[in-house]
Amino acid sequence: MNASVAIQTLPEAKNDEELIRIVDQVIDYIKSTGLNYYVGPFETAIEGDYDELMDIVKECQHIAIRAGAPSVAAYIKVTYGRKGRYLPLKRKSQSITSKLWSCSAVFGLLILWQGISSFGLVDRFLLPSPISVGRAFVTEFPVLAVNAGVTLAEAFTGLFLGVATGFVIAVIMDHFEGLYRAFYPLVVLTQTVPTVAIAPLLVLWFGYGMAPKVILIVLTTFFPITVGMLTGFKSVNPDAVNLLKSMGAGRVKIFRYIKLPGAMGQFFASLRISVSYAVVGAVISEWLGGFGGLGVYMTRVKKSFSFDKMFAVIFLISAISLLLMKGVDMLSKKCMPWDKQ
Amino acid sequence: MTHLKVEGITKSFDEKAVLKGVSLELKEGELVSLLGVSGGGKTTLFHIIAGLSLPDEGHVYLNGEEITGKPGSVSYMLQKDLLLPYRTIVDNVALPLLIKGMKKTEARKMAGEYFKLFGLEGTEKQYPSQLSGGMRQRAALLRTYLFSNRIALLDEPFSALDMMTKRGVHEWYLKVMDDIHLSTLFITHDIDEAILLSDRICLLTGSPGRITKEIVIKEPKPRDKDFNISKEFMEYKREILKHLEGI
Repeated sequence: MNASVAIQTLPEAKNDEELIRIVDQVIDYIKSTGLNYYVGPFETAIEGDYDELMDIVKECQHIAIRAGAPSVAAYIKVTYGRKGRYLPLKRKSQSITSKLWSCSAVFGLLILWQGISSFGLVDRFLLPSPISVGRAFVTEFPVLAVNAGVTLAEAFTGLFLGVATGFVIAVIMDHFEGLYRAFYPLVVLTQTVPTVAIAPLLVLWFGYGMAPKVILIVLTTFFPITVGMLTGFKSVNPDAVNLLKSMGAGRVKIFRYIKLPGAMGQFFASLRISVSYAVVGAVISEWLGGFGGLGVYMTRVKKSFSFDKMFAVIFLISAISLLLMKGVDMLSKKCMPWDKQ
Repeated sequence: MTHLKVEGITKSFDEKAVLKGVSLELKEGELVSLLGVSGGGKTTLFHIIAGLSLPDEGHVYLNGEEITGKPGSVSYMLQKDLLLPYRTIVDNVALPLLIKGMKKTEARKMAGEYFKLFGLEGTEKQYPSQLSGGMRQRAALLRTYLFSNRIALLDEPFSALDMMTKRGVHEWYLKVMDDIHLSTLFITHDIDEAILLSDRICLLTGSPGRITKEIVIKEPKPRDKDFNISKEFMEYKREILKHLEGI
C-alpha cells in the first residue's frame, strides 16, 4: 500500500435519482475491488497500490458511461509516497483530539490523586501519591520482575494446558453427539463453582508448589475455549460440508478444511478471555501460599502496610494482562489474514 | 456415448413424493439443463446423483458403473460459490485435489495452470472477499472442474448474479465450455439461460416431479451471445412456456 486516491464522479444525468443510480454503480465497482475505501458525501477515497488505483480510477469512467451517462467528469486527488512515507487514510482521518481528551482525562485524574495526598486529605499511608507509587515501582523493579517471572510461568503453563484441554474437549464433544448431550451441561455446571472457592482445597491437596496454581488456571481457562470452539464447530455452513462430502471428503478432512479454520475467530475471541483469566488465576492462587510470584509479593507488602508497593504491583498486573491481550490480538491478525477487522 | 445415466429415480420425504420415476442421460461433452419451478425436486435429484442422499427407487450409473449413494465421482456446484473465506483463491480451487490426497505444492501448481483459461489470472493469492461475484463463480467453477473434469452438476450457479454480470458470465462460460468439454447437468429456473447454454433441456414439472418433455437446442456451438435475441431462440422459448403453462 503506497497511495490513496479520492474520486468524485460527476456523470451527466437527467435528474438526481439518475445521478445517484450511476454513482452508486461506480461505488459498487470500487467496493468490489476489495480495497480499503471510504465513501463520503462528495467523493470516495480508495487506498492501495498506485498502479492498481490508477487502473480503478480509469475504469470508474467506463462504469459511469456503461451505466447510461452520456458523459462524465471527475475530480481526482492523489497521494503517493515511498514505502513508509505514505500516510494511510486511517491515520489521516483519525481524530487526534479524541485521543487528546482521554489522555488529558488520565492526566487530570493523576493530578487530582497527587493533590489529594499532597494536601493530606487522605492519610498518606492509606493512599500513597502517584509519585511515591512510581518511585516504589522503580526501586522494587528487580524484585517485581523476578516475581512477575514466576507468575507468568504459572500463567503460561496453566494457559497452555487449559487451552489444550479445552480444545481436546471441544473436538471430542463435537465428534460424539452423545457425549456432547451428556457432558455439556456438566461443563457449564463446573463454571458455577467459583474457582476462588476451590483454590484452598487445591492447596491442601497439592501443596504450595506450582501444581495447585496450574490446576486452578487450567480449570478457569479451558471453559471459554471449549464453549467458543464448540460454537464455532456447530456454526459451520452445512452447504460447505455437503460440498466437501460430494468431493469424497470424510469426517477428518471436513474437520481439517472447514470446521477447524471456521472456528478460528471464536478461538481467538475465547483466548483473549482465557489469557486474562490465567493472570488473575495465578495471582489469586498465590495469595493462598507459595514461594514466589506477584500474589505472594502482594500478601507480603500487605503485611508490612507498604501501600505504595501494593499499588505498584496492581499496576504491573493490569499492564501484564493488557499486554497479553494485545498479544492475542496481534496473533489473531497474523493467523487470520483474511479477517479484515 | 452415454456418460451418466439416471434411471427411474423416486424419492419421498415424510410421505410426500418429491420425484417419481425420473430418468435421464448425459452424453460426453453435452450440456443438459433441468428446467422447472423452484422447489420442484431438482436439487433433491442432484443430491441423489452426487451421492449425498439415497433414492427410494432407481439407480445412477457413471460409464456403466453404479454410483448410487457413493459421493466422490461427480462434481457439484451450488448457487452460493461456497469459497472458504479463510483460504486464498488458489487454495480454494485446489481443495478437491487436496481431498483426493495430492500434495499441497503439487495441487497448487496444477490448479494454477488453469487460472488463465478461466480468466482468473492474478487472483491466486487473493481471498474470496476481495473478488467480485462473477469472479467468485468462475473460481467455484474451476474448483468444480478440478474435482472432476468428467461430469459437473451445476445447481443454479449463476442465479445470484445481477443481470449484466450474468450476461458476461454466460458469454465467458460458452467460450470456456468450448475449450474444456465438460459434460454438464445444469439446474436452472431461468428459461433464457437454459436455451442459451444447453444442448438439451429436460422439463421437470408437476408434484411429484417428473420429466415431461425434452427439447433439443439445435443451434451449433460455440454460440454467439446474441443468440438469445434471435428468432429461433424465441421459438424455443415459446415452446417451453407453452408446455409449462399447459400443465
